[in-house]
Amino acid sequence: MKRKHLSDNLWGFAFIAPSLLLICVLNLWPVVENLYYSLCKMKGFAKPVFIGFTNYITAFSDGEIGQAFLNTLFYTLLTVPIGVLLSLVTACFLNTGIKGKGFFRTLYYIPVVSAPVAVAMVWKWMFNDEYGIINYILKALGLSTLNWIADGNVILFTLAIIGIWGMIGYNMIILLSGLQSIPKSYYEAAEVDGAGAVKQFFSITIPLVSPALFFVIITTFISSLQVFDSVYMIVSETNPAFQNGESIVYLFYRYMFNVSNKGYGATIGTLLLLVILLFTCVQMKSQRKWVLYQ
Amino acid sequence: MRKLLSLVLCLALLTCTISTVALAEAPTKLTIALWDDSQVSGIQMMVDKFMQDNPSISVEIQCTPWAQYWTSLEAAATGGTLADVVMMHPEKVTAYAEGGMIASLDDMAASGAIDMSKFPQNIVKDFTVDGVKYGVPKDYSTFGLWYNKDLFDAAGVAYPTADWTWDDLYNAAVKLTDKANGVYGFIARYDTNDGAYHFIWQNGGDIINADQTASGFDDPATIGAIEYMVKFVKEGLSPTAADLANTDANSLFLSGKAAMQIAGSWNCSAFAAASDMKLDVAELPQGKQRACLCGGMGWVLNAADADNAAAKQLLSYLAGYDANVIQAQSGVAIPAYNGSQTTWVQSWSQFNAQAFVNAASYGYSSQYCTTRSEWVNIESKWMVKVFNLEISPEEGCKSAAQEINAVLAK
Amino acid sequence: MQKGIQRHNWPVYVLLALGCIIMVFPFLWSVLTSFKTLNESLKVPPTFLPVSWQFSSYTDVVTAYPFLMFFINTFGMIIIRLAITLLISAMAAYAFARIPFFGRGMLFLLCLIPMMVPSQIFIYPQYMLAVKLKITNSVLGLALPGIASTFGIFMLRQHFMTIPDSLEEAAILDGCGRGRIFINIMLPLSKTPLVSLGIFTALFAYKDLMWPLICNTKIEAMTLSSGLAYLQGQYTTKYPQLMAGSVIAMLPMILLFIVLQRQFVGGIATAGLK
Repeated sequence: MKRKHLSDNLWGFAFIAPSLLLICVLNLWPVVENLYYSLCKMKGFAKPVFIGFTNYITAFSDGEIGQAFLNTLFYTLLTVPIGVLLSLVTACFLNTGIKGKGFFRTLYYIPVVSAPVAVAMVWKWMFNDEYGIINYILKALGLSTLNWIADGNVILFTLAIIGIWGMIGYNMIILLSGLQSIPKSYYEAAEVDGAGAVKQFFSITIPLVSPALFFVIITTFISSLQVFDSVYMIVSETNPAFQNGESIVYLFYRYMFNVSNKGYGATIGTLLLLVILLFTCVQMKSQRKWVLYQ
Repeated sequence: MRKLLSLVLCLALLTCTISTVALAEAPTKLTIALWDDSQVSGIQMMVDKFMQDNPSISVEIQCTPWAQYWTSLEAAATGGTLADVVMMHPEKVTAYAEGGMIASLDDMAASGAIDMSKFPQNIVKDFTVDGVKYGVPKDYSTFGLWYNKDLFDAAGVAYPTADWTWDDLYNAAVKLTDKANGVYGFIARYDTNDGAYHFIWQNGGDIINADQTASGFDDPATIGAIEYMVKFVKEGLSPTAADLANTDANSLFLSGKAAMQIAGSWNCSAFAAASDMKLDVAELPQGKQRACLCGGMGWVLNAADADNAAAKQLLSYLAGYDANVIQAQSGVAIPAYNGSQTTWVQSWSQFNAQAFVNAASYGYSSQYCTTRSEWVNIESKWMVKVFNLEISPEEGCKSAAQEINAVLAK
Repeated sequence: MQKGIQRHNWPVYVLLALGCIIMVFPFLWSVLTSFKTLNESLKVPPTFLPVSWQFSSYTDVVTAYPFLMFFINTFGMIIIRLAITLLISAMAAYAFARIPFFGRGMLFLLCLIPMMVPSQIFIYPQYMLAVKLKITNSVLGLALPGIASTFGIFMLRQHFMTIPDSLEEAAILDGCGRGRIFINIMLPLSKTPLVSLGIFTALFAYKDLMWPLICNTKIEAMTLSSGLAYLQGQYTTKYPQLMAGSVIAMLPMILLFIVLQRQFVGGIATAGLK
């Protein structure tokens, strides 16, 4: 038994060694460096000066960071459940025996490869308060229109719609590959037992796709907490809704570039890391309750 | 196996020989870094002329788009791979100078290799850090009052002239506004140095005091200028900040939805492409005095090249009349060298482009540059509220001044 | 499920088609914009179909930029990243999922940390590394940041955890070592997830904009997406050319997906497992 332990340890480390080594050099070292910078005052090209927790103390009294965190959390809680559910439903539909599913899959994948500028341009036009197609439809249906882009109460919903739209293509690929591992015989057996499509979905599909689903939830959670592109392209600083739409990574970028107060930027990055780490650990712990392995 | 080995050896030898030969004959290699893709062809022409005159030097242009330029430059500077001659922005020069990344040009200016007297002095000053000159003015941009002739003709209003006052602008905007068709008379947008700063200076106010220790936003003259601009928004002669967030100023202007807007000299090519419209430009209307932002870009020299004769020669060439005239021909940016601007004006014969060159004579410099990045977002935050008619100009200006002063005190 | 849907599957088609319109609309919009003039592309209210169809944006873009080099660099980068990432991620994922070794949980969490910070913080350190390795302005430099993938490890780990223990146990009883199990049992069962990871690796490489522009300063060393960034000026964006360029750049990525997604059909079920 002891020998097996030893060999497992040896094999385990040997298998992870190449990845771990590269990740340490390419990714983890910069994270550690960033951690150090967050404790420093950095201006221009001058050497970082260690200042202890000053940046963190400033951050906790900085209303803008608080607001940006709230915006980002709200966006995430809006985007992840709806987005993941839609992705799952889409993936299930595209995994059935419908005609032309390859064609449909390709079309659903297209947003993923679209140029971000093209995406931003189209959404900006569609959400335009005066000329946009969305307000046009709302008007035609006799509903009141919204100022999707410049109203602080609406902007996070606008960003969430764009976020959900952008994630379906990614998640679809992962969920489709998860769905592939469900043996068809399970469905056939359920059919014989007289289980309907809905029952099959909940008692076969969800449990068996749960490892892939878990992955999708964690990654969309992380990427939603790091939302940047759509904010950058839709909400500029001259937009009245800016404060209600600014995300934490947007703020991070602003300090890293425009303000050249990098130590503070590093602090924001570290705080974000801590928040995401906390969420991820909670999800990792709670997965035992619902994720079915093998 | 042995065959393979000898083949590899042969190849290695061959490469060595080739590279040593290449090394022996290789001319001195220099690189220029810049961000504007539309200037590459013009600068390539300048460089070609330089290489023709100096066959022992070869120059390569490295262009990085604006959105990634500063990240790229910073990485290069820290990694020791900075280009020899770099296009620099006045807001960034202090960091590079204080960080020891770029070389002092005082010696070159003293020896006459660069004649600093040939450039607008406010731009020379923008690139002077602690009394040391670090940059050669490359080009500058000024602003003009762009207008749509068709809308003026339809409303029977005379075209703007260089003598217009604030009242003329307001009266014309009233006549040109056509609410039924969604046409605005004038776009009064905040947009810091693109929009409001001209008015503030024209009213005798300022953004910040000379030694950058106090904000100028609580100055009554500054508040007065903002009040003047907001009047357009209040009366529906101009779109609000929310309207502009939905549809930007150039889109409104190029769609015939706005009769006038203030826009920079770099718009010539975009507006010239709108061949179905009759557009032109006049000098900015004047308030208590004439004023217009005149922001310039510069060339700086890598600190590692402080003793590199070839790099200095290139910089000296770029600072000369000939190079500036070549730059002017491309029409992209107004060359900084006095007297070379005529060529640029001729390249935009369809517009009154001389207005932009005239504006340089009363051009205000961006003297707020070193600290600007620390407070411009505060200014933006309050002014957007003002221009969205959420708070009064006075409240917005005073709040902005208070917060900016707190930042400057640190 | 399959039959259940087939019986009355028209609502599915309607829903899918509706979804498609929303998903494809921005792409359609970029195609249409690429045929407009710059002036028309800025007009409000926007025109849907171009007033007059201009093909000049395509010829402009193709003649102004070395697109062939962009393609070669992009695919060079993708191939290097694919070759390394797929192998080492699968190895690490297998270990994290199925080999009980010391500190496994903590090390796995450590591997996930890079996903949790804004990618900006990697750029300067990675650039310094590329300078030291003297691989700036090369395809190797382009590939560098993407050769290890936390995303891939996590994704494949999830997959390996679904494979029944019985298979591995039987192999161990037969005297198979971990290496043999990995190559002979695990990899063949992982075709679909590996293909998905391949798609993602290609996608991330293709979409990366900042790194190629930092690492490679020469235009002929650019990738498709970073090459397109040139069309976004500081002041005016040349929308029609930008759209034309992005359409040209997208096509091979769509083609790649069409080819690869065929591998989605089958997977474990037809591999004769269970």
